[in-house]
Amino acid sequence: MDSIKELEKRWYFYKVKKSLYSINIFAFMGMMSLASYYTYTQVDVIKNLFNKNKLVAEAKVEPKKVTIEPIIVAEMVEKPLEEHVKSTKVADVVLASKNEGLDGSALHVVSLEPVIPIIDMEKENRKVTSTKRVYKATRHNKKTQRKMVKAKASTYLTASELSTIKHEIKRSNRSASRNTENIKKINLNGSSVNYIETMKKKFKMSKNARDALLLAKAFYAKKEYSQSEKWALTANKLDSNKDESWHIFAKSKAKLGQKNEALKILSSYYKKSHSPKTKALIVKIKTERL
Amino acid sequence: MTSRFENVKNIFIDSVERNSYVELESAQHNYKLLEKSLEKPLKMILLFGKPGTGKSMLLNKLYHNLKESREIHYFDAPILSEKEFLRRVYEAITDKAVPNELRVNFDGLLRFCQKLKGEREIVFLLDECQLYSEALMEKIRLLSDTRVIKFVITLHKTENEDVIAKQHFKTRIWEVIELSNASEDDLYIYIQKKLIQQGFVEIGNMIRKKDIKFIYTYTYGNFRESNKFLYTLFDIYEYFDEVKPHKVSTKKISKKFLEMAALKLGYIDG
Repeated sequence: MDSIKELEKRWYFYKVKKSLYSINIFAFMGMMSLASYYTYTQVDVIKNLFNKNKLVAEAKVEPKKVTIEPIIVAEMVEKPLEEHVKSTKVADVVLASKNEGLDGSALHVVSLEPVIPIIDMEKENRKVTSTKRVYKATRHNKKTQRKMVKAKASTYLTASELSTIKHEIKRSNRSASRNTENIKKINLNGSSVNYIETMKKKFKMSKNARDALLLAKAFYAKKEYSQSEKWALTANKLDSNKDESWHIFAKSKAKLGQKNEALKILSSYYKKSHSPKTKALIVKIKTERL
Repeated sequence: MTSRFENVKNIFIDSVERNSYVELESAQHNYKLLEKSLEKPLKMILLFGKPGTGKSMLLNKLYHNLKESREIHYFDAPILSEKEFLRRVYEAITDKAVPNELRVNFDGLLRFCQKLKGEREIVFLLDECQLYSEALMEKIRLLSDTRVIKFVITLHKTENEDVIAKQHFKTRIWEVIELSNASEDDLYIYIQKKLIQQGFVEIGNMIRKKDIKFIYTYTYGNFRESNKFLYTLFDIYEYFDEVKPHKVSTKKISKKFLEMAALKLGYIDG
């Protein structure tokens, strides 16, 4: 009788052990299911990573074949930069397949020089402005001269009047040449802190896209990429047709580690602009030679 | 008050009683084979199988069925002493008791058997022959050569058992009947028949196929092991019927009791 009692106790222990074993099995199966589910949900991310690596590898081997996916480009082509920034998600970025070209032809790799320093751009812009002014002045002088020629001093003007005119011509010529000299003397020190502060004040007053772009460049040169991104975006808001605003924005993005986003933005802009500089920049970013 | 399960458990006590023999299809087939072999001019017939496959039961049944119709003797327990064995054989043949102070001379017995050739055919059923010495087995062989004595012997099929492989046995055993464990269905029929034969129809109805499956998982259809299992099971039933009768269902066999029986017999670890 006692042995049966003892046996019953053993049976209770046995049941507990069996239940624990079953619980362990179920827990293990549950964990396996969760792990499978997690792996399954991460497939897209893994794929993207894989594609990204693949593209980088391809770009390194065959830079000429770097292309941009037409679908994404078509969707984004007419949007300004600001909209792209809002709508872009890293996970959505799908890069181009190697056989697809924008216009069906193989694209050329444009080797770009390092980004032009701010001072040079400033000079360039000022040169253009001053040239225009000089040209205007010259044209004005020429007109005056033409008029003078037409006037035929000997015929219509007195000697005193003629001398006055000649003096005027000389003075205007002098002023034109002085203008040119003055422009050449402007010293733009883009790397200084003062320059940024000055440009900020200037932009505050002018709300000019060019000033914002200069600020973006200045910040980019100082490796303050979030600031350069911000100012490039401001410049683009004011004038979305400036290549530089797109480029600085994309480069800042790339420097901030958002390479896919940068590529997507540049791709869409390239579709619109067909700018070789943009294409070259795309290649640079893809091959990580930025 | 005696529990009804006490009587039930007793029918599963391991025995070779004739009335506890259960007629199964496989057993019937083996029995017919054995009967036919006895009709043939064979010197020796070997019943071969693992312990608990029903060899002794078959020999017992054969003895009881044929003892009225032919000269047949059954040594259910092995006789290990050569002197005793020869004495028993002589007494069986001559129907005369040998005084204790005398012993049977084997050569004399052999000559006596040779004289009986053509007159008599005596069958000896020897159980558990794996326990017999080699010398005694050699004498059995020589006795069978006289064609007066026919031996039906049973052997356990074990890993180390090589008696059958010995040359002197190989040349003489002309019929080998191998017995195996019961199938799941056979085991079900065996238990049902056993219970019904003894009048426990209600208990028989309690046992379902899945209970048999459970038992079979551990006993592999071995009759001796299965009997032991059922004995233990009804022993547990008996206890609960007396101490906690509210825990005993008469509709079906309790899974708990089945598991307890398996635990007790060491089939599962507690």
